Amino acid sequence: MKRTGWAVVGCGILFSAIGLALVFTSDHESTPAFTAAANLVVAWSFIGCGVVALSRASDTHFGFLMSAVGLTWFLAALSESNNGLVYSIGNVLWAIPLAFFIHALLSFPRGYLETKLVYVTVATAYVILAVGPVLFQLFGENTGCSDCPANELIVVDSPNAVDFVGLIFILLGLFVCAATIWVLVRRWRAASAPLRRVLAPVFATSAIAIGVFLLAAFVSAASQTVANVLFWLLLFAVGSVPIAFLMGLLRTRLARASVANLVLELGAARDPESTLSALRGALGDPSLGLAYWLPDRSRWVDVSGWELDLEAESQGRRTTLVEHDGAVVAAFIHDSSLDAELAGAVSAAASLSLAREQSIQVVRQSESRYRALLNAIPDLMFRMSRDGTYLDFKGDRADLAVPPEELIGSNARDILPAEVAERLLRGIGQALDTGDVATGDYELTLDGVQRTFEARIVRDGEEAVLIVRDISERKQQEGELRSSRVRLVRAGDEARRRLERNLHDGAQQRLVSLSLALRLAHARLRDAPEEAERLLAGASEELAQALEELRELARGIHPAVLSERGLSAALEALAGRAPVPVGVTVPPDRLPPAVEAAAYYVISEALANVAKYAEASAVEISVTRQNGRAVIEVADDGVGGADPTRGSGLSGLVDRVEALDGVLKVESEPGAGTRIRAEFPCE
Amino acid sequence: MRVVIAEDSVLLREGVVRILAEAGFDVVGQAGTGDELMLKVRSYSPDVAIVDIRMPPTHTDEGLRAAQEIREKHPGVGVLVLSQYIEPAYAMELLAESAEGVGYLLKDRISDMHEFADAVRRVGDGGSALDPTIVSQLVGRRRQDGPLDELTAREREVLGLMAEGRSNQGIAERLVVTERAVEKHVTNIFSKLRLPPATADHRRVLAVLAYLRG
Repeated sequence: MKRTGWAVVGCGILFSAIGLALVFTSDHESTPAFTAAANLVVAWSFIGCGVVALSRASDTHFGFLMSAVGLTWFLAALSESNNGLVYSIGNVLWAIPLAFFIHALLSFPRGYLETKLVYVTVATAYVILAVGPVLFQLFGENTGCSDCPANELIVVDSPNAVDFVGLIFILLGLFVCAATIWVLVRRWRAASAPLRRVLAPVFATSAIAIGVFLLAAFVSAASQTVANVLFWLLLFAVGSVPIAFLMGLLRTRLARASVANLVLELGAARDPESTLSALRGALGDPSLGLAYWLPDRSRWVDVSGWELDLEAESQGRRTTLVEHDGAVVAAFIHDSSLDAELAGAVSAAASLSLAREQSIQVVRQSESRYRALLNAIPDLMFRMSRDGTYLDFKGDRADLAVPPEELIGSNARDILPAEVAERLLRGIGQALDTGDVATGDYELTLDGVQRTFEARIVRDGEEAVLIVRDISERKQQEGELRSSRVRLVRAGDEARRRLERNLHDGAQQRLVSLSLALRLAHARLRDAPEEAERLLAGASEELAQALEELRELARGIHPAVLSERGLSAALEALAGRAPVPVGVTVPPDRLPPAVEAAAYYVISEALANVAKYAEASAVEISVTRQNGRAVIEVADDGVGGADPTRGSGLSGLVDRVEALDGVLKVESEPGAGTRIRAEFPCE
Repeated sequence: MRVVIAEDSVLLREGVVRILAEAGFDVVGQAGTGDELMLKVRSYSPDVAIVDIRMPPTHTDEGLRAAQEIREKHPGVGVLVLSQYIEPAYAMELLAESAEGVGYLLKDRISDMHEFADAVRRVGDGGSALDPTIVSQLVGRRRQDGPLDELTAREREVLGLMAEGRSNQGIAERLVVTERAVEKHVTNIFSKLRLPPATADHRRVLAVLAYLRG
């Protein structure tokens, strides 16, 4: 107990002694024992309550007020004195404790006067309770007590003045009472559940006390007997109020006892939610909020990990910070009526658990950021142990050899084909032993589709992390590119072979026979000039044939006019030689040579196909430029049904077109003619 | 008739010179390049220049360009272009404005000395000589139905020979008929193709070619 408390108790004992002496020596006190006992009960209940409150750092304000009520209560005892002056002073000062009481009541539980109205009410109460009795004493005869000493303080004996003062007194008293009730009702309606539990006993007893006081104020003038009865009632009603205050204090004391339970509960709490409910139970505040501090991000998060604006949350409420090892780890947001000391005790009790949970939150937060980062990477990832057991993974179900729920805990040897598993384990071993990144490609058949993956294996402590990328598409493209190159080379080889064969079988044979014929003619020239002439004529014929064949060969290799005069001129010759009518639409300007050549061969091949298969009656060739592309179309009205995959002519064209980043499309529905469309990029 | 020859292959050039000399032509100059040809044409004012289409330095269409230049600067000199290949596009370039004193033949034609000399003479006289390959391509080109189908086989033959640049007399000799008969065919052809009659041979060539190219 503090020094102030001891002083109050000391004063209380001294005043009790004086009061008792006055009561028991009084010659106008009819029931001294009862009066003494009743007043002692009331006074000491206030003193006791005051002392208890004084001992609590947060309640010293009440302590003073309650102590003041209790100590000034003894002032009324002065009126028991047989000495006229002392008696008169007692009659003047008896109402002072009531003023302190109203002050205490209106500042409960916050400890200060909140609004101007409350302040005015309390001030008025002090004035009327201090001044009112003085006025009565100055203007009025001491009535209603025949044994009492004479009123020593009387200045003018005027019943009119007393009535007038009484009226003002009653009006002001009514104002004080009404204002007090108004304030208390408002406070009650605004109060939260834990606050109401503290307010309830205080308000109930106070309401009774005030009700009795009002009654007494109205009827005491009418009948002294009734006034006496009401005064006694008031005495006990007021006396019960500190008991109510004590109950309120006791409630927080009980809550404090629950801190011990809290420690146990927190120890058992497995997650932030159960920690929160333990804290709510311990502090008796179901609206209590909990926030964790994330020091690396300088942010508050709630128990679910969502970001939280502590300042906005604690609007109209109070925040108690929880520290651990000198660093803030969390905060409660609680009702401001909550006992600060209790909140402090709970904070201290919970600091260890909250520090632990805070670090879990921190990890969870960084983990979720980590996850988000990982999820943004399209690669598959696996965490594996040295023996090939899958520990964790990230990726799409479609990329896994087994369902995800079966994967973790399984061994690669049981899931992957033996050869792949073997290589994988070798890679893991290598990565774990050397710390170098091991890489390798492997193929898997997933859902019946052959896919190629590229794995990079990285050491992470005792475990290996695999970063796996699906490279099937790239592999396929590479494969296509390779085979198209091979086809181009083959087509070139084939063309050269054909050229060689044509030269050998055609022109060369003819030249050989020509040479023979010339020798023969030479030999026969003298003996048989006619035969020589016949031989020379034949040789001449043979020579014309050889020249014709050479010309055709050369044109097939590359028509000179194409490079010299462009597509339009070359197509004119091509169209002229076609067996069906050919319409040609070509822009007058030249296209890039490579595009012209490709277009020429596409059209040439298309026309050859028309001649061979289409049975067409007309062909339309159009070359246009559209949006930076050269579009070549050859459409016939023949039988259709051409298959670009069959026959090397069209597939050779595909390679030629694709080599220029072009696209070749063949539409050839049976019976609907054939339309070959080639597009080339052409700026 | 004075002739200048431009041909980079000396062997072929000498052969042509010999053939022409034998046929009674006076070969006044020989050239191996386009520039040389222009020099010779300027210096010797020949009646006809026989030009190989491919010559140094690029071996593409130097002869053709030289031919155009000669026709522009020396309108009195006939130009006969020889080519290893026959390209209708080149023929049309040469004949773009006029068929007067122009010829375009496949080199192979040289071997038929008589025909060749005839063509050179026609060109030198301001007529024209178009290679039968081109003509047959033009005449034989497949078309949607048109007046050409109305011609008889004989008329087609006459049409082709007209397109080659031959005169009625030349056509008559070639077909071994009278000139009168040829004239009749020509009139028929022109009326069937709804072409206005043309008297001069070189104008006739242009009209027929324009029709055939359609």
